[in-house]
Amino acid sequence: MGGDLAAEWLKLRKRASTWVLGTVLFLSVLLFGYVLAYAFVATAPDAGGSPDGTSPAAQPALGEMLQDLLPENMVSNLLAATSGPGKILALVLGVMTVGSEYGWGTLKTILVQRSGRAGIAFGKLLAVGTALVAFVLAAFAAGAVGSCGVALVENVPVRWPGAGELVGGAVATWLILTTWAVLGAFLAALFRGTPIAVGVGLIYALVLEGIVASSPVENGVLKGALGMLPGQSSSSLASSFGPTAQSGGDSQAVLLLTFYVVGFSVATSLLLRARDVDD
Amino acid sequence: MTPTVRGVPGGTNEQARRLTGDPPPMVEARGLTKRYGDRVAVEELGFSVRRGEVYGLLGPNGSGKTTILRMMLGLVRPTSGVIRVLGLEPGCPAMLARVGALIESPAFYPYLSGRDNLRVMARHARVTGARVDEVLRTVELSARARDRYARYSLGMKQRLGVAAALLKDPELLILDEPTNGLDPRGMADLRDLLRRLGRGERTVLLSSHLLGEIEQICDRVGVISGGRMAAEATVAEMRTRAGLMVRAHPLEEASRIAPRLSGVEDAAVVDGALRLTVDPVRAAEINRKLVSAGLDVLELKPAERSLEAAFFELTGGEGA
Repeated sequence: MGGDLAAEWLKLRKRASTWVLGTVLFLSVLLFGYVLAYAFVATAPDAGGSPDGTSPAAQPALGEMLQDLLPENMVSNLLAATSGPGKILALVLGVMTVGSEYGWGTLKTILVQRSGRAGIAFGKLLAVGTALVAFVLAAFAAGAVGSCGVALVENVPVRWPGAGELVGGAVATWLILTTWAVLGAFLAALFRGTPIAVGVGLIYALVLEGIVASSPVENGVLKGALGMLPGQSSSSLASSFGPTAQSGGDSQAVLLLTFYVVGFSVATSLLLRARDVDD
Repeated sequence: MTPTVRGVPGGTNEQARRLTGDPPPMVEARGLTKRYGDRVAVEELGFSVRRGEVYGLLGPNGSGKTTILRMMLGLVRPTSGVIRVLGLEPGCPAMLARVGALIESPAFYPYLSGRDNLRVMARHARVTGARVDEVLRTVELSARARDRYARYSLGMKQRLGVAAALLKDPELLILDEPTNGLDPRGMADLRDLLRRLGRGERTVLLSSHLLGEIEQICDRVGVISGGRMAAEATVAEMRTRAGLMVRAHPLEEASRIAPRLSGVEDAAVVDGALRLTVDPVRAAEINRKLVSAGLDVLELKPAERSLEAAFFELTGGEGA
């Protein structure tokens, strides 16, 4: 599988859209996670100064928001910022990696080289996983730049999170992104191409999961089942970091997301193995 | 039912080979069938490709040639029947390691250079980077190797496809319509290359709908029509298949007697001679009978016909 991973890595590394997605992730974390959030906090009117100003009750909330933007809380803020746009970008990366092979007709070219189909599939997914390590580093770089900028503007000392929290946060970010990328790869294999897979993936991620998240379900079992969906599990893992972390939620989310990564990987491989390549 | 081999009645192909000492074929198909729903793409196909030969699959567009090649490479699974390549299951890594292939039009990554495309294939094939430069030289693409594939002309794309097929220095080279879309010069160059590649131990299996191409390059040819093998023979046999040319005097008398001779299916006067549709092995017998009927037999030889004529005859007039 080493050769397949090396081949897939070469393709991903030299593909402009991989770099575009990584850059968009960097910029979106910086923009939505820090620049716009800080602009909102900084421009909120003073509580007592104006009759139209923020209510005294909102003051602590604004203070918390500002705290979240400082380097010491970078991990939780990053996870919140990354799990939104990041999952969409990862989904597109996954779709692109598998779907383009159908679009360009290159699947037949690589399948007649030497590797078995499972080797090709896992080589692809490993390469995507490796690319997502770079995506995570890009997101953390954006977090570092953004949070340092806020600390400088607010004139507060820069204090970084502990190494354990940084590593845990990076692994969690990677797991969330990888789940969505592998889902994208699975959809591309299922629909044998990019356009439908991207459409279905986006509808699922943005619409269906959004409806699930906001639906007032009372039934405990159903609520539990809906909470196990990839988007809900990603949010649960993201919110398990930081000062307002919900204890106990992370291990279940980690297990579920790992299950999705393995499950979608195996399903992608099975689809590639089972079907004729005749177009 | 197990098929029999000529000269070994009732024996299997493997038994026959052991008895005759023939090397195993590079490709062997028996009863190969592929259906897509109600549509039959390939039906009960049987053929074999021998080591070291240049074998041509000739058939009109849509006759099933590409489906056969895809089954050979494990890209498509047969509905029924058996196919073995180098004695191995199609598509298994051990088989693919010894086979180079170009199926239909070449397909590569448009954003990568020609060289990087080959580097990708070399990594999948576990081939060293040095081999990439070798095959680029072989197909004369070294000068444009750093250009993006998307900027290549059709001929360059085709040559890159052949280069990818050669990366593994394969024992068996499978090329599907390799001169498709090339200009006359490009076609001539590629044919020269294929002839060079077909020399020595390497086996080349070529599919084409171009009669001239098959005639110029191939040792043996299988004619595919409607997903079936209409005929399999050497190009020379195909030209002379089932025919004798007889010059006899008086011609009118000869044309009256000849159709009644044993084994003669048809007789026609062509350019002052009789063209008999008959197995050429009956030549001596036909000569004897014509002479004993009091005719002067001036010349008797296997009837040459163009491969084109043979092709149209075998495919029932389907256009190539």
